[in-house]
Amino acid sequence: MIVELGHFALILALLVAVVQVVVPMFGAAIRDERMMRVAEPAALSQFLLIALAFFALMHAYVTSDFSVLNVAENSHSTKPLIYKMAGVWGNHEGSMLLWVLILALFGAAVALFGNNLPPTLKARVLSVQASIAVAFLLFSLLTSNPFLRLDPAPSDGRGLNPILQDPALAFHPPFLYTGYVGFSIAFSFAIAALIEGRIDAAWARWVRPWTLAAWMFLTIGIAMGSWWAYYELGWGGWWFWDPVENASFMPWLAGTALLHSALVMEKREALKIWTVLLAILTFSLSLMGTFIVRSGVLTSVHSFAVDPARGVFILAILVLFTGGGLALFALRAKDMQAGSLFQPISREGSLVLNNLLLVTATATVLVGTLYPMALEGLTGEKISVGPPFFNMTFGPLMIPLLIALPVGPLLAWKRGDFLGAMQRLSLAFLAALVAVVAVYAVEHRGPWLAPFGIALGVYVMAGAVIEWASRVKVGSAGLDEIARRATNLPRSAYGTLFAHFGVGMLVVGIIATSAYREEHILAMKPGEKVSVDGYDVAFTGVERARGPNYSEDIADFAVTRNGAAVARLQPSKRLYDAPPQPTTEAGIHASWRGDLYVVIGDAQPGGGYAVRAYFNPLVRFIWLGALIMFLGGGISLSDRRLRVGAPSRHRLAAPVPAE
Amino acid sequence: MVFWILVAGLVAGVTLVIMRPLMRQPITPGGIADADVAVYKDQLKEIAADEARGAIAANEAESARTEIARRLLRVTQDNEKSDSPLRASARNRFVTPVTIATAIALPVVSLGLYLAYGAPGMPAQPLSERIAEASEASKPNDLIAKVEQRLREHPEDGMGWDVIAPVYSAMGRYEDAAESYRKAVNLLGENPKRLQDFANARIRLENGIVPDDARKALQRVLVLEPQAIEPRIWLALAKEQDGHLAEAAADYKSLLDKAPEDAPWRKVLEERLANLAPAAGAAANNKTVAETAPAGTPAPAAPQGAPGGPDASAVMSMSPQDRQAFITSMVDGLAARLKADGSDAAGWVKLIRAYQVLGRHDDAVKALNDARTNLKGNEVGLAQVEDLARQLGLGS
Amino acid sequence: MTRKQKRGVMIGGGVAILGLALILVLFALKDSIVFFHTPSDIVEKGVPAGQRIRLGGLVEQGSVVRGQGTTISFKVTDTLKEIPVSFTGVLPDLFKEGQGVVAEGVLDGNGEFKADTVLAKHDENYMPRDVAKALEAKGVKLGASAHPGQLKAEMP
Repeated sequence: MIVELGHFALILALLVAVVQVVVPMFGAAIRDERMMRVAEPAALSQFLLIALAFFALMHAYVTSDFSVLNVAENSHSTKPLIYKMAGVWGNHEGSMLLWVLILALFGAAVALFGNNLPPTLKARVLSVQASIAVAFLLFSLLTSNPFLRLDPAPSDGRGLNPILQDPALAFHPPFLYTGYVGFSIAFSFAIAALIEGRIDAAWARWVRPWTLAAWMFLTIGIAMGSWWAYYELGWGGWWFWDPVENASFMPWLAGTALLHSALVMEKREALKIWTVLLAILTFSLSLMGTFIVRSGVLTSVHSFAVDPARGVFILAILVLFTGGGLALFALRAKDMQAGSLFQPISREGSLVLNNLLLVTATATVLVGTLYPMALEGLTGEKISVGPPFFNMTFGPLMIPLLIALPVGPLLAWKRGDFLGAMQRLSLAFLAALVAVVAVYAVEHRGPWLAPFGIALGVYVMAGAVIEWASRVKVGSAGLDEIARRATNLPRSAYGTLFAHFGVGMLVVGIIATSAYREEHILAMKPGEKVSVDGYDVAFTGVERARGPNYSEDIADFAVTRNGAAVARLQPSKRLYDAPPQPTTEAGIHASWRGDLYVVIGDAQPGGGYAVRAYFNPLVRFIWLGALIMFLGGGISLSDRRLRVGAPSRHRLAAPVPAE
Repeated sequence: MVFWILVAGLVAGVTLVIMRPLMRQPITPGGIADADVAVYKDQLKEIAADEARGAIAANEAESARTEIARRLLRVTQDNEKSDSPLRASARNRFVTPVTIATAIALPVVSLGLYLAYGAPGMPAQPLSERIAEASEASKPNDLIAKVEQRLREHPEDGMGWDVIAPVYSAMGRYEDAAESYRKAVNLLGENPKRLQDFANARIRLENGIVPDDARKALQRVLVLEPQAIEPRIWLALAKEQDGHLAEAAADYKSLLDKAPEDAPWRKVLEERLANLAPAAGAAANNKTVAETAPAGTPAPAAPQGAPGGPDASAVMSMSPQDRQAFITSMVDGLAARLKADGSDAAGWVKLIRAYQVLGRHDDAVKALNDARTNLKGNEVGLAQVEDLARQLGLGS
Repeated sequence: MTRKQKRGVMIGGGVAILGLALILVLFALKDSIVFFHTPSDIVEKGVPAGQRIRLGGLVEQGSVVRGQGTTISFKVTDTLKEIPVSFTGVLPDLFKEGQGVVAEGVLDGNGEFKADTVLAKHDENYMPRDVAKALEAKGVKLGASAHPGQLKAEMP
């Protein structure tokens, strides 16, 4: 009954979304307050209905109701509870349901917290948001219905792919989706504003918190996916330039650009056209990511079931929204007033550079992702575009971006003092220089550019701190004054500090790991030893063990350093019961210096095992950096300035709360 | 039913919530640019704060203020020019049709789509319930009922009888089991296993006494399979039960002589033999065993003669204690039944015989007397019991 | 600077960056893409030794030989032709005889394929799409389980 109720709720949500598209949009056109107001209860009930459907499906998973086709195909009665729950989005239909749930969540959030918006804008935003929901609810119900039933029910399910049975992966999709579906709000704001014909600095302020929230979750979602790939796939790699990774990375790059250009638009009312265009493009990239992942056009470890009907449907959605959005943009852009003026060397100028580089980088990733598909479609020739392509194209674009990153915030709006900024950054240059020397002193291996890469990261980190320090007048004010200033500084300034510092850490981690990773692949017998970056790793033996739904061979490695015991690593090879599929579990010893990472492979004739042992220096900086960026976003989001706007409609004349 | 009530509630609730704004009196909101004004005013404050903090120079602050003031002015003009307060739309001719359309479309279309795509009335089938149901459904009784139904319609289906017989046997329905085996033998022909199983079922039905038809079957097994051991054991036992103790002892001995050292039945035969020793006299050649089992007291390692449970070999493979307990419980069960209803002459015969076989001579005599009391007036029954008494040499 | 000049600087900068990116992309596409071939392609078309390619097909039954240390040799077949492959390293979890596989590396002069990467896909039913398509194009009938239609969910 609960399942059927969920199915009905999903259908009702579709109808509610249709009402939410039509009535408020019409109301805004004829300036009818009552019809516009329909958007709010509609958005809220649409969200609650989809949530009901979602939890009904989850209930079916938890109770292993195999009369639901989706559960039978993707779950198994012996799976641990957490993976039964996570199993809801571990498959195509369920993940589309999660997609629309998050879409509706953002709509409901605008309905609830968007009291500062002009009524017509709010009605139109919710209407556009609902139109996306209509498209995806239709997609879900017509081509990917998770509520199809099976009668008679099979005795047990087919199981969830074991490599997905992992805590990081269980929670990675919700974060990731919150991220890239969240950009739908920016899109809806852009379309609504284009329809409304009024785009000004205030609009940018309203869009920013939503963009920031989406960006935050996308950041942490991508980081979790990378973390999962690192320790679960057993290759010790953390990023593969896989098309599905790119699918989430492109909206992130464009979203980062949007975040920065919206800042310019809010402060200076410049870059209006550009910002609106970016808002449309960012969500279009999210849609394209959904298309790439969901339609099965890819050869990828991430591919879902291939079903041409689905591919065509999502492609139609993509074309409709991207094409429609861009057409509307083309119609309206020329009516927009030109923005304010600024010199090339200025805060705005640096942000324009940031945008140019980020968007160009997005374009290179896009080419690398789509080119193989296009080529195969046109000529039938099959190629693969791997990391070398992206390292050659994406990498060089990041260098000027990172060099410019600490400079921008030190420049004033309108007309910046470049020399002054350089002077203030002198400490950062010094830190970078020290880093180059230090890296050369410690490591002689690796490409000659690597120390400079690490220095670049150090420079970005130092630059972020210097910017903060100059704001609180470290060096020119007393301690009391510094403390006072530090507490008075708006939270968004701390957000910038964290986010930029995180970028620096990320760069250090990426370069260090890529350039100085130590790798050993060898056959080992119990009793044998291998030396990895100063660690002595001794293979003591293999034992067989039984988990809740798998059996495993656990290898035992005693790790010592200069004779002192450091850790025991127990990498294993698991064989899951349903589906019967092997997975590799890595044994990882983490420290600040880096990760010692050991995996075992096949048993070899003669009692040996193939063993891969890595030392990945500073690899944790990658995820730590991403986490700090995420926190920076959160701190910035909590800045009350982002929430300020009109008081609620009932207190029209009330003054804005005093600071 | 509950489902439809919930569906109706859901539709009604959602429809009402969505239509509420349409049914209210319209309120007059402020100008469309009020929100913008609030933002710009806030920006002015930020600039003042930044200036106070010394984050921006006075001249920069001034130019920023001018810029924001210009924006403020523009939106205020816009406000006055185009966005007269939103239409107080009490008389808006669109509201009523929109309201009605919504109120009708939401329930009708959603229900229609659901009926087209959903599976209303299909119950959830969570695994826990299905496991409970499954064990309910697959109860042997139901399966048996099905097979029985088929056999009623096709009594010539020998395979069917062959299939159901061991099931009956496992359920303790030895009478039905024996009957099924008999039919299977008739329809499919003799084979050693079928005959042996038939004999086993009969023996268990008789609480360990080997009846005539079982003996015939066992003899047929020996004809078909001269090396078979199990029929010989039972036949020896039958001799013992008939009172031909010396012959029985001789058979046991010869079986023992032929038995391999590690044969599981060896021990049982030794015990049987030891049990017989005092009664058979001549046959007893093993002093120590004889001492452990004086006549009239139950031996710690019980005799094998009266199994009534699963399979002879299964009983044989039990530990001595288990075997003892098992046999005792069978016999006690029969005694209890006869105590409650003493009119069953055949039952008394079995009980007396079983006691005698178990070596519980006193109990056998007591049972004989009880039988005589209970069977008063049942001439035929009494005659059977007296016959047996004579046969076993139980005095009056 | 006048408004026009400023715009000129902006546009010039933008064009410069885009131009740079375009050059990078073209160079990268020329140098770093890898073509996918089946064993028959290699035999029929002749792929020059030393060119980096991806070889896709099925691991031939009974062809896997584990040699010294971690070097493994096996044959990749599309059921029409087969290519011997040698690989040093740890094979992926799902590497199995009779299953689909993609190896990346170069052909040496003797027609042996030196792989430095071996990919087997993460599902027992799964055959890499390229492999499935290429095999079907060669007229090889695949069992239902080998069809990409059977792909299971992976990371979204």
